[in-house]
Amino acid sequence: MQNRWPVIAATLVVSLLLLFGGFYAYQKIQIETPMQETLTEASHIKTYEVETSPNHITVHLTPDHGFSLSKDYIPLQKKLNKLAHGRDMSILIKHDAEGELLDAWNRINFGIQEGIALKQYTKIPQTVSEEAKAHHFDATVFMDKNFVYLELKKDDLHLYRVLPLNKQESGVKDNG
Amino acid sequence: MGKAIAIGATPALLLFLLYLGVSPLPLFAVVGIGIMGWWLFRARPGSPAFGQKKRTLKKDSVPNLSFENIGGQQRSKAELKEALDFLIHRNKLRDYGIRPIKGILLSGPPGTGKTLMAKAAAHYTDSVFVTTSGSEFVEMYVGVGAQRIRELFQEARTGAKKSNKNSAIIFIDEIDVIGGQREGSQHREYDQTLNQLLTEMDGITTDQEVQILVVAATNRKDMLDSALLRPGRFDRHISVDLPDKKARHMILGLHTENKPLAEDVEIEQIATETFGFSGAQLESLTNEAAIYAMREGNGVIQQMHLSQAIDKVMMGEKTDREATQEERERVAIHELGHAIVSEWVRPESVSQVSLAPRGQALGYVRHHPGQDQYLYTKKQIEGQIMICLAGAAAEEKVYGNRSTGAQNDYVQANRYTRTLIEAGLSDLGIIDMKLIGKDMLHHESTKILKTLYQETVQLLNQYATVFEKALDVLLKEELLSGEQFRMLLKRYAKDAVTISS
Repeated sequence: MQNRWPVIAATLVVSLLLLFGGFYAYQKIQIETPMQETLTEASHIKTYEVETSPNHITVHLTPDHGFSLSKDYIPLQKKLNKLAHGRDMSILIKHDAEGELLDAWNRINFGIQEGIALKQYTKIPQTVSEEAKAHHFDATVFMDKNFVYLELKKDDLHLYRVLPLNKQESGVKDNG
Repeated sequence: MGKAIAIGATPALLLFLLYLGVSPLPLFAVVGIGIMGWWLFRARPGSPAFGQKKRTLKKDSVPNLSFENIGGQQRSKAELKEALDFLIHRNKLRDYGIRPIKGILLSGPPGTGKTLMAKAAAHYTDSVFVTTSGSEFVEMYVGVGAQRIRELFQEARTGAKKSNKNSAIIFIDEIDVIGGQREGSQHREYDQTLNQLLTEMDGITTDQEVQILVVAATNRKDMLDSALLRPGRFDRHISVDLPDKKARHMILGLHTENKPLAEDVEIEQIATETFGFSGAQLESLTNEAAIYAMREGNGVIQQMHLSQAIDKVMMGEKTDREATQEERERVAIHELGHAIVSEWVRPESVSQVSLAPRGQALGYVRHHPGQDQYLYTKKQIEGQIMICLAGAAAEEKVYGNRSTGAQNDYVQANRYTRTLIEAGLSDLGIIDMKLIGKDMLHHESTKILKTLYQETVQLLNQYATVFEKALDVLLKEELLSGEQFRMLLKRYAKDAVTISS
């Protein structure tokens, strides 16, 4: 056993290097680089950052004024999802230009959440347009199978929200 | 090497799995099931299964014990060394066309150092030492013994190759278990084991890379199968005997080397008093003496401790048996009888008379054995018989009856009588024991015992006062030293003690 210690130590170091080195290399080459390329090519994105962990990828985005959820976000999300190779992925859009739109969002949030919870989806655009009219900002709201997309714009300010339709069992719920 | 890599890689893999967030438990389970399956698959008879120890006690290295560390046994050592020289000078052997020695059989009473000799042999030849014992080949499965012999030889070979040695010594202790005479159909399994051993030993030649020498030890050489004993199997038979006085002195010296001895301790005397002790008993003696010294909180081992240890090794530890006053008196009378006759037969022979019960005995007389002696005259044996009978005779003299305490003495006396008759020293003359009827033997034996008993009683009659005086001391002190006893004897004996020739 005495003369085996160096072998054991060497094996430990080499194994650690191989396993972790290999994993980081794989992550860099197969995930991070393609994602960064995609994000560079995408329009209306000011800055981005990709954070990877063994089972989760987080993409931080700072969009410019022309960014549109329907035209830019959805195709980008589809592309990034493909590149994530099955890992969970979240895209965080930085809100550095929300200003008074945040108050508006707080007001319309009730209506939207109620609409989602009661599955009365027509209530959502109704609430949003009423609020937009009252406070003079542009609002776009649409939905697909899984999400409700909301986009508020006023002068230089913009606010983006993507709300899941099938929320976990929480929040407002119609038991009737 | 493979094991070391596995040991190194496993923690790395575990760390990586934990980092990935994968629980390693399922992996453990899979590996565990795999190992279990492997064991079960391998666990055919003969292979060590779960919880079983490996068959042989493998010694990777050469034992660190040389012939100098073995006390006495000069002749056996010289003989063994000579045999081992064949293993060392292999090239010379080839030049002379000498067939290498295949086996050495060490035989002798228990505790004489056969195992030590084998270890020293391995050290002397710088060989790998593999040891096993006969009983390790005994298993409930058939064929296991033979397989184990094969494995044993294989192990010796690989072991030697691994440690770059060109010879290996296989030591089989208690070989009589497997090497017993083959007869009838009772022990077919042992036969297979023995046959395998014989074939493996036949396969040993000088051409092989690793030369294997089988050293076997037994204390029942007469039981061994003749096929084992023939030349070409166990070529050399070396008897390891009980140590003589010189050897005992040396053994005691070796064992007391690491113990604090008082300056006045006379090892010479202890060696004299321990006639018939084996090496193991001598070792136990020094150990017990050290224990006594420690119990008493004495810094050094004194002569007294060694003396007590002799009693302990010979007779067993002191017992707490409570005897009544009557019994104690009777025992004292009995022992004094032994002591008086012993002193009459061989002056200065009584070393101690004790009333302290030890082992099975309620009291005892310890003798100075005198010189080591291997030949006895008729007179000497008769003297011994008288000593044996003296206990009972003393009881009869004092109480007018005898007790059961003398039973063991009679057994001994009968043994001596038998020796007398067998050796042709009785009135029957030189005889063949097989041709003599039991009645006749009994008659002769009784005649001898009766005559000697009468003589003993007469002898004791001269010492009536000694009995009284010595009894007082013995009952009070429980112990009467040889010198004290002789003084009483001189003072109170009716006649001067006659020294028998």
